[in-house]
Amino acid sequence: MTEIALRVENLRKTFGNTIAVDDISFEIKRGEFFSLLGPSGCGKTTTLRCIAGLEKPDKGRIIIGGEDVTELPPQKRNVGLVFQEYAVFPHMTVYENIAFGLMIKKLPKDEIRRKVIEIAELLELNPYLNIKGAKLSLALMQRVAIARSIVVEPEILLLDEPLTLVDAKMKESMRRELRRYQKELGVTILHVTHDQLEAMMVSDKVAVMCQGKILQIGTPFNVYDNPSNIFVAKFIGSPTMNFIEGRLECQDSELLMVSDDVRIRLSDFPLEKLRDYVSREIILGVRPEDIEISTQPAIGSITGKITLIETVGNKLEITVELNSLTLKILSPLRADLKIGQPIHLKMKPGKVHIFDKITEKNILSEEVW
Amino acid sequence: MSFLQVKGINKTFEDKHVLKNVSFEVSKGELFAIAGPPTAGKTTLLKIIAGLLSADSGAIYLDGRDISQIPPSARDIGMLFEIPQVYPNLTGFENIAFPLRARKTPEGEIRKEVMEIAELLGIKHLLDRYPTTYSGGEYQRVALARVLVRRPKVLLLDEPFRNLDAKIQEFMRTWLKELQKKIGITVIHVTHDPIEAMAVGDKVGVMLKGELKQIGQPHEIYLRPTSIDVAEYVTIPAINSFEGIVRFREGFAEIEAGGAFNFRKRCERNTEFHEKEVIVCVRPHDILVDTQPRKDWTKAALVLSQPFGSEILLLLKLNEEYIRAIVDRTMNIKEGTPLYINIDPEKVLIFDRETKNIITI
Repeated sequence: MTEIALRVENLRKTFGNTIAVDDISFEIKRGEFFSLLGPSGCGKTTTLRCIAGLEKPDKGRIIIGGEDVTELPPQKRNVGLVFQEYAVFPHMTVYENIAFGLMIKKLPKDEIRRKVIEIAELLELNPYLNIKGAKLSLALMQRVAIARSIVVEPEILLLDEPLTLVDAKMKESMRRELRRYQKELGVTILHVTHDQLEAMMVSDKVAVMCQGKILQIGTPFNVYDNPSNIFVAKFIGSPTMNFIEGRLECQDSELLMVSDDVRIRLSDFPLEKLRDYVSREIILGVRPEDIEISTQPAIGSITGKITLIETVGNKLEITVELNSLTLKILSPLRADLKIGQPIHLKMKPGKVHIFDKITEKNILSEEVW
Repeated sequence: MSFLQVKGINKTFEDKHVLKNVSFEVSKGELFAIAGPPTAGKTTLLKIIAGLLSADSGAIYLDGRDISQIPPSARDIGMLFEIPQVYPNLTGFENIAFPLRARKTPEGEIRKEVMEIAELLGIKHLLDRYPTTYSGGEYQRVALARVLVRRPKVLLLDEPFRNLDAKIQEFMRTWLKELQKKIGITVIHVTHDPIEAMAVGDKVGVMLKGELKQIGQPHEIYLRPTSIDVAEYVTIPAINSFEGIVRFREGFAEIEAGGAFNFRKRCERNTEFHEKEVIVCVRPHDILVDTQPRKDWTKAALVLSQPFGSEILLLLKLNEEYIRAIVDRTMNIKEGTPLYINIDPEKVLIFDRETKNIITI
């Protein structure tokens, strides 16, 4: 038995003149929760459909559980599939829904019973076994759809935007349940989503896709802390990372980023790494929670004016203008701030990202994958 | 009198009472966001305000005039639906011009009006293109331009971001709020997402099962929910609730919650609340967590930890109950190790178990 549940090698898929998936490769370990994350049209669903056997790739190989399945029809691939609309049969009971795949496989009745009960117990579906599919809440329907797919013991479960149609409130609890059950059952999951928070919350690993390519693969905190380029930096995290363009300068062996709007001291950066970029254009990136605000100026702080304050749960999203620059800052709830008021900002040490303006690559991050 | 006044609206569909005595006021230029779960009655309410449905009882006043009996086209109210109406076979320009042509506006004026609105919404580049080439956010902006070109006095938005990618939603939220402030239009924005409502609304209404349960500024709704159902609805990740009891002893109110937490607050004896059965609610952010044991803190098992932006969302198990807590990324959490928790007495919300209303002790 191999430790790799799924390997995708140089997968390419075009539709007419459009390249949907552009030569991508990745692998998923047994028991891993892996998310393909990207905007609409980035190729993530096409990738999933190629793996399921619903689309035929132009090029590349798909290996599931050590076996090359590229030429096999969907039903011979040993994958489970859960779509946006949970395909739960409304006229069948939960028991019958879960047993469905096993009945098709013509398993003995008592074995079916044992397997259904076992999975129902794990997914806490026992109380609902006699209820008809049509009567279930969305959350229960999702669990039934998952139970149905994993009772036949697929090598990998494919989830295509499983929570898109669910309202905000339920989404949060379903993300928790999904991750909990996956861990308890030890199932391998490939999950497709456009929602970065969802990908962060459920995954062991996230692959960020854009225009048919994978830009970065890493753990959720890894892609959050070390985005490999500007697209990933923008796509991961909410509110979006702030970007400031300017020129890197070195004065008295101290690094500075200088633009028409601001001068930002980069004293905690190692000069050796950035030496090649001195006098060149860079883009500085800083997350909204990595800017500290104060009503009092301090050494090295920059001063702007508050233009908007929004309450988002237990936090404030504060928009600050600094000449032609607009920055978003996330701060704990506080009552002493007013629109129009001057505010002093300081970037938290070690939390600033620096990108090459031309290649848009993160200058400081190592290629970690 | 307020710019828009909605008074005592009731609506039933067959035997279902979908709107129960709904009343609120919106000032001119204000953005009123109504949050509620699916089937709370939000869309029905918007349709009644727009005149697309009639109410069983109640009245609507706009700018001092009772518009309840006026047909939709004469109400000066624009509505953007969840699935926006844009004709796929017309260019952006013709789509936006459509309502004006229907009104037989002179051609020169149509051109001027369309260009003006396109400039304002930043969609001039979409005027010559067909909707099939638009992205989700662009589609929504053209649909909005179609509504705004008629210069309505009030704009009704029904889940305007629902079908957009998460990242585009975030962008559109800020964009819309800035646009609304710039043109100073009065807006009612309806959403299933309480966080979205709090982010966009100058004022937020929480609608549950056909009732407008609470109206207030975003932070009021979040910090001071008046009933437990509002607290449960607006708090994401879900609020923790524990059954508890209040007793008064020697100048303190002693509160016992969930069998695990005991805390007290200095206060005068209040016979009304003595021995009162309550529900103690604590937001995930207000659960105190430490990796080291502390005096009077309770040991809990860590079931799951999930990255949550710059924070970590924890699922903990205490006795047979699950507790959600949010901690900072800097905390060194390892799965399989116990954690120690407590609740901050200043941050708890206490509700009467019988009436479900908030109690101030």
